[in-house]
Amino acid sequence: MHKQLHSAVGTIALFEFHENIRNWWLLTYCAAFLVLGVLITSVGSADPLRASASLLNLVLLLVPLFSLVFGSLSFSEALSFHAVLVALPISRRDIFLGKWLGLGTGLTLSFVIGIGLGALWQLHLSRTGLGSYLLLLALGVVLTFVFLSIAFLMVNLARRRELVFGWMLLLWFSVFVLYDLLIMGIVLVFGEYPLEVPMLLAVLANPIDLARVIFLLHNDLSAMMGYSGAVFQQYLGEATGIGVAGASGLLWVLVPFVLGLRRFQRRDL
Amino acid sequence: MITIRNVRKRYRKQTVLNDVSLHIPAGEIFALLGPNGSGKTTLLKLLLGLVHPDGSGTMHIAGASIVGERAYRRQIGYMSQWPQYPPHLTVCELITLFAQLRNAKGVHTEALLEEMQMRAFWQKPFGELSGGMAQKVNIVQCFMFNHALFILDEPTAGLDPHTAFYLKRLIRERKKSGATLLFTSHVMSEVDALADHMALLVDGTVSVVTSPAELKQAHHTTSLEEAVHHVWRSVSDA
Repeated sequence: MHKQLHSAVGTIALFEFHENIRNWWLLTYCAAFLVLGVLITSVGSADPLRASASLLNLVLLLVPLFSLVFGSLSFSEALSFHAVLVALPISRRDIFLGKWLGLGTGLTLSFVIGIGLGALWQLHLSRTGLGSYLLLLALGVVLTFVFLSIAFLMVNLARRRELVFGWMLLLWFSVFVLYDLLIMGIVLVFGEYPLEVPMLLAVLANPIDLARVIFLLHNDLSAMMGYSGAVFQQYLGEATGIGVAGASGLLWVLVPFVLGLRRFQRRDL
Repeated sequence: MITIRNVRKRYRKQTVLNDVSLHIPAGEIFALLGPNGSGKTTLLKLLLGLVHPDGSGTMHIAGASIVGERAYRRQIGYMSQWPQYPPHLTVCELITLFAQLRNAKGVHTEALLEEMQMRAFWQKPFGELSGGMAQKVNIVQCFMFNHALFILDEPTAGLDPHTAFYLKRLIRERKKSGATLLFTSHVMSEVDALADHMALLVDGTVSVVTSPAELKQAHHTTSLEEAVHHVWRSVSDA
């Protein structure tokens, strides 16, 4: 029984992966990282660390946006197919997990190939630069799964399928742009009060900020940090800070995934 | 084979099924009729676990309760109304996927492929198929195994006459081999030719359970369409 469960998840994930690697949007996503990655690493080749930091902004911009939009559209368009799968003797959990794994693997592969070929272009990376590059890849992969989980949750919460795309763009805009503006506004207005703990929580509450802080803490680039990141470094120190941020990242993957799964198990198809 | 008692289903404020009770004997071809929005598809989906029932109604297949279960679906073949499979997977990959998910090799796959002349588009992505071709894929995935129960939602919709004829033959063959078949349809000639018994759903309630011949006789007509029309009108007027 247990073995069968795993084989259903694996089968769905494999076919989902095959479905997605032929999708033009995923190929475009890969090409965008390849072209922009090569461009950025070529321009910043004198300082690999700076090049990685520039690539970070690209990753923080594109990975959440594409994972949200592609993930939500892929899931909502497959709802009729999910109904046929549910009519088979397999559980909704297997279908949800298989879809998540297959789609996540496709997105991850596109991202890693795109940005990884950029790194190959830059063969003379120093050791420091290589470490930052690998961290950047890891953060991109985690962000992919974070926003894929959020996309799956949102699709299963939405009552009207046609609004999902708009919701995803709004969510991305909120976490990428509005959130930092809000934090800056709070700092300006309440600057006289002790804001360390609220700022720490604010960083943990936004996976994009979290990824940025992890990267900057690891590379000791405090000059590039915003107020929240500086507080994070001061309050927790580098090792603890990265540990807390890593655990928060994991929660950002798991919590929306579990909530989305519960909703999918209860919904009518 | 199938026993449904006091099943209810609401979508938000709309009651789709209201206290539905129905018994479908084993080994029969049973048609579920009703106007659009009468709850036919919802009833099929309830039997497949795609939608969740409200309240305390019960549903049994082959004597076992099915609410919250999934193992019973091993014995069911299901044909949805409009097949929407992943567009980039080929027909070959889709059929393989269904076989792998059932952990079995389709016993009738080759015969079905030959009869419906599907070899020509075996390697074509599903998204490039016409509506009729897509429905053929739907037929193969449903009928490639020897199930005890087949649930078919408007199975001949969008099919060319040759495939529709072949599908009706398949339905009769499966009945001969002991399977039970439950289908919905708006084509009365099809129901008349296939169904042993039928139920009429109107406004989420079962109005009549009878055989096509009995219904025609009761309304003094040779046309099942006319007989069904009389029933719907009398229910609506009431």
